[in-house]
Amino acid sequence: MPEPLHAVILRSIYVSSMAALLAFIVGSFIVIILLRMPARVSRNVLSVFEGLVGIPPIVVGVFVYMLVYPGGPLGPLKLLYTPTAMIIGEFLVALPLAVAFTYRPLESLWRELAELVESLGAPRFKAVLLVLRESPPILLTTYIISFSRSIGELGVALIVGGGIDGVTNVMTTAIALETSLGNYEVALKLGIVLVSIAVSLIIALRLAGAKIVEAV
Amino acid sequence: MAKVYRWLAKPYRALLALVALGLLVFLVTALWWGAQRHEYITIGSGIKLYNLGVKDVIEGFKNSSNVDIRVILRNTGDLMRLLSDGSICFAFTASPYLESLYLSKGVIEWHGVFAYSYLIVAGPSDDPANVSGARSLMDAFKRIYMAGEEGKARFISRGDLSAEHVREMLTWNLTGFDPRGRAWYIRTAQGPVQTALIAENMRAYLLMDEGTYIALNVQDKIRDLKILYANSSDPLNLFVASMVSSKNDACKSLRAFILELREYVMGPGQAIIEEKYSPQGLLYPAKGKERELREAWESLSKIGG
Repeated sequence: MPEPLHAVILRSIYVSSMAALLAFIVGSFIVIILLRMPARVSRNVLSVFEGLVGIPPIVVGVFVYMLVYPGGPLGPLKLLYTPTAMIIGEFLVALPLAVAFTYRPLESLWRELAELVESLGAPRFKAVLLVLRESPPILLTTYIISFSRSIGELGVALIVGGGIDGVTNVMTTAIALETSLGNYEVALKLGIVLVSIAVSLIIALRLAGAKIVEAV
Repeated sequence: MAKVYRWLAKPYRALLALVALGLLVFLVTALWWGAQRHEYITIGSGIKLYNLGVKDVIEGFKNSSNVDIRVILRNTGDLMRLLSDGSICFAFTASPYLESLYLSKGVIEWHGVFAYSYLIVAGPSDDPANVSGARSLMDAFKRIYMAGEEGKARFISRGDLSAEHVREMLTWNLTGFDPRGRAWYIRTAQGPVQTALIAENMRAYLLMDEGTYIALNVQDKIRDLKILYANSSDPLNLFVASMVSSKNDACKSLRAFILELREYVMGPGQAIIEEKYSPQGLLYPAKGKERELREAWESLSKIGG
């Protein structure tokens, strides 16, 4: 018996939100490290992340598969065909996007605040704290972008998730399955549901973010 | 409560709290899943094959035993690779050449034809190559070749070493014609349903399995594509169940379950196919025809590469 649609939707949201969360946390740390590096070095590193934005998710999927399949280095953890493996893969897909989109706005914020901190004679780490205090709107955008990238991704979901009914089937794998069976109408309906959910969640996050900023 | 609200009023603190909450949810669910872990077999199947009969055989097995089964749906090439990696322990496929390749590599320990269907030549209803007048499959292919050369017809090939593709290559060899490289000979490298839909849209001929044709026709997905040549004794599309080698570490602990599944597929599973699928011409059980089907598989497995 195929599982109900709401279960597939909830799994999609869970996997994507967790992957986006990891991408957002790790991406923010990477950006902070880049900001403290000499400008020339950080720009070069950023170029690598910008290049990786376009990496086909299926390549990331194969890479994660090679890590988690029974003979791979993480094989003993038995992560293959689990939501956890999907989260790892989707995190890797979303990470370059998170770094590339966070760097520029945070860099200008960093420049302003670092100058201010230096002119006041305060230690440099104070500038990092100040940037973190002022950055929630930027970080919220990073999270939303990472979430959008993760929820619409298929390559990783299919290769390391397997699209197993009741275990790892998410909206994109369900759409791929219906397409391969020639059920284009059903695939389109699922696609519309996926887009509606993603847009609704993003609007809700934006509204919540605006409320938080207003509350200061 | 007011204190908490005041603390959260700073945006960076609220964000920090949300991040912490998210991580907590992740950890709790990951631990919960870990605790829920129980024995199960991960198996693989061709997508069309799964929906054409394997699904009910698996459901029947699940109901008659306490073994949980998780199914990965892929094409045969993928499934063979997953078998050799130990990512799956059992597979239902339909590609004699690839099956024999992995059998010779020692990846597959046991394999058996568990079902079959008939192959047909389908094409546009106006039949510009006059395939409906063909006396044999070879004759049908010759007619398509001639019409193709005259610019009147196109042929769609799966080109993926599937059973249909292997049988198609064998038939071209027998005719003495080589259509490769011709403008009217199109390779899709896609599954049977997608290939049939492409043929429908391009008004082209193709060799396909009768079960897929009937299923698509019932669903009204193909309208112009008609059966133009069929032979109820030959050619056959053979569906094979493969069991991973006992040397594969990842599946060793599940060996008893895998053997149980094999017995079910070749035993009670045959009755399920007979009752549910044979009356409509979708799929036929191998029971009673094992030797004949085995010989057919062996001759087809030599073609490909």
